[in-house]
Amino acid sequence: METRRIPGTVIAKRTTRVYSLHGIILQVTSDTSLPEQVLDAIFHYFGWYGPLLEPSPEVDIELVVVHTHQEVPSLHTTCPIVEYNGVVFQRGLQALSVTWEDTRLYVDVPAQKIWAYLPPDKWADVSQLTIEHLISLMHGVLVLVRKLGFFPLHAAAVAQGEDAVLFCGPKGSGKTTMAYALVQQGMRFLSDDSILLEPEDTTVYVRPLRRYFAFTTEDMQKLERVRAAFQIGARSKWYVDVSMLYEGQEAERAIPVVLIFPEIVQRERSRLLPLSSEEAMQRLIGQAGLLSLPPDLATKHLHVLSQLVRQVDAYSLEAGQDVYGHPDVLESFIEPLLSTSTKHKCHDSGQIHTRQSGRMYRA
Amino acid sequence: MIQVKYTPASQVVCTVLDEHEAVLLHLETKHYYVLNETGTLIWECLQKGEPLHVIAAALAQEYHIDKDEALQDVVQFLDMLSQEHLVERKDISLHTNPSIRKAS
Repeated sequence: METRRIPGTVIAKRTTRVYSLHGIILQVTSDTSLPEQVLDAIFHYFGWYGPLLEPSPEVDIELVVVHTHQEVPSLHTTCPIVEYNGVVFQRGLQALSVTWEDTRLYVDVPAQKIWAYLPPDKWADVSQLTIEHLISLMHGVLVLVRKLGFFPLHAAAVAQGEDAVLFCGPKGSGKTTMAYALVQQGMRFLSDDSILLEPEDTTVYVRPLRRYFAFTTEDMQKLERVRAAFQIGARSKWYVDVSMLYEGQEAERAIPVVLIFPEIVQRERSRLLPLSSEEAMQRLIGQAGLLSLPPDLATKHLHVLSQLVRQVDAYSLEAGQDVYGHPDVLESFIEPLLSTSTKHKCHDSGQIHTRQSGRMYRA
Repeated sequence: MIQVKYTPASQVVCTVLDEHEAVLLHLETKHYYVLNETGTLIWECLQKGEPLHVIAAALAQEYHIDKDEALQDVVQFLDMLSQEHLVERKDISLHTNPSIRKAS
């Protein structure tokens, strides 16, 4: 048996507070991520880093690499069990086991310890896991997350009171820029990239996934307050904790009432265009990562998206140069939407009424 | 006699969008479809495993149209869904092979 500590990667990521459970998972899909990131996701799931990822005292996580799979502890009572793409998750009260092929991982939460059996013919240690294994593992985690009733969406979110505005779109569509501008104007921050939708009775709530702004070096150079807090060097992304810049402006959970699909355009003036439910739904599906799910979970995820669409007013925002560096201009677009949106409260929707009155037979 | 039966394809997931519209998503082709009110009604019947004549009757009752016209529309619509691999068509033979049983 070989015992190691893995402070260099996992602990560094925890203390820099870069990753959250789902943030990592989303990143694994587009990057050749390190196995430590996947382990990190598991740690977050169990709350080792605190539910809000608050800074916590340095805690080493012990990795015990064993030479036979019998040496890996096993769970006696498990709930729930998830099996997908050959990855099996078993969840105990204070532990999680992950099994795929001959590999065994057992995560003991109170002991802050991981046992691992890694077949020597496949890889000598954790660092030699292949991206295929990570993707399989990621799929398993994605299934697990949804089975627990949380549905990831690639979107930024900010809140005013209990009401949230979501900015949903692909990489480079302006999610971070929009979210940061509104936080500058006093709105509360949930996430700039990854959120969880949490259906509860008749309402869909939004919770943050990644809780850090991920700025590019170009962003950093534009944003005076951020620039002042960091010494900017050559890095692809800068992870900035919003509480360092705007203390007390973080939100835990809110109710989405406005859904915006931003797009950066090379025009002076921005335009905000209402979207139909169909158009909103189509765009949401593209950012929800549900196509690789088994049909039962894809259906649940789809239901949550349609519930969200019914709950919000949806818009396309063609973001021109007027909103860049002028958060007040963006706020002038968003503020009226929040004050007029009552859809989630009294289900007042002109579109729905129109369709009811225009009900007709069309085969 | 052959009876035609349509069932939703296993890789197709559906959700109701507004009160009268539904979204279909094919997880393999990754295509997305929006059904109007009538299409939604037909899809809901398919999910319940209803045969064609029952679907047509439901449509005729809902929209006060002739049953034959409704059946024609249903068949046309389902053929369209079949071409998009959203439903699976099965031809069920109602014909019974001739047999003989010795009476005691």
